[in-house]
Amino acid sequence: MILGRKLSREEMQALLHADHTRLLEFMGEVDPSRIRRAWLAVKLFRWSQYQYGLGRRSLGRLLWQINLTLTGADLNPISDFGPGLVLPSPLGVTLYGVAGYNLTAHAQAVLGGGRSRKDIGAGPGRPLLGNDVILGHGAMVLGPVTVGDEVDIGPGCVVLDDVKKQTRLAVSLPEMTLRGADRG
Amino acid sequence: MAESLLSLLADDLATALLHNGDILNETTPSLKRRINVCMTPCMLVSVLHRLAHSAWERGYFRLAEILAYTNLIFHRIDIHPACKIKGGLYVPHPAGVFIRAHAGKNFVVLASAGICDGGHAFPEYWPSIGDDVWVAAGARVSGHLHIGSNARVSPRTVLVSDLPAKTIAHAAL
Repeated sequence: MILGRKLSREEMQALLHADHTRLLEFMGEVDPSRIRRAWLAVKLFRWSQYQYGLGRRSLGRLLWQINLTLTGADLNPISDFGPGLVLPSPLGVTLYGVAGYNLTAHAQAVLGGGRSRKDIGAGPGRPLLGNDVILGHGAMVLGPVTVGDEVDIGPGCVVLDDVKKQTRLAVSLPEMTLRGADRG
Repeated sequence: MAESLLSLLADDLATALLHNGDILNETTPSLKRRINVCMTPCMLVSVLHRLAHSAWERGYFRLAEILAYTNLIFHRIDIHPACKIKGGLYVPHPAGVFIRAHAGKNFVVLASAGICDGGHAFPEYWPSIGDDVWVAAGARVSGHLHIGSNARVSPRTVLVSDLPAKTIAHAAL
């Protein structure tokens, strides 16, 4: 898995097949309309990745832009995700980095650059994720961070440091205060 | 349907006028003000969602999806057409807002807030929200939970458990 990897056509088709199989597995027995947008986001990302790797950069960028317009997912064609990428609800998902197989990114998840430009094997300042990682609703992984295998990043977590494998992250619960009767 | 489309839209317009209007001078808003408010994204989002939801309730699922998709492309807001939201929905800045929830009256959602079950579950598992609830900018409400009436979720708060009525949830410092 490297940033800006060149894919062959067979490889791209194998990735798409693996993504579709995992999406059906993940969503279970549902109405096909519920997975249409999730599948469109992944399909457009794979096409843009393929075209970008071949050197047709303008076409790759165009597909990226189409993906952003139609589904709301901002998936950089340079990033490299293994087979089994699933985006159940693609609005606001911004992914730029490298991940292993079976990455799940829920709505508004962010994977991308922080302030440092260090290269840890995923491009300057980009995170490197292991296999079977789950990015929860609104979770963020920012900067050159290594995340191990089977890590579950809960909703709203912001990861700025390395995470060991088989870890489950969650934010601290919010404080609750009673509203006064006269306050707005 | 419990309430007609027009009464829901009238409630939405009333809430939008309340938030956009001059609250100190409680005069009736002029026609120009009404038309101005109707052209703001908050009203257009409501109109499209109401149409999508009524199509969904009548069984026109494909039409409902197209209307929700129009909402996504024009306003960057993702409201599933199956969301049951009572009158008075107000989304002033719809970009990046994600709603999969059933809400009561006068529901206010601010910019880039997300409300969902945290996964991909069916409408029965979506969060249920009472009347007069505010979800502030950047808040994430996720899980099969209930938010009571008159509660508020502060900006950038992550809420994963129930919120009782008349309570404010703050992000822990």
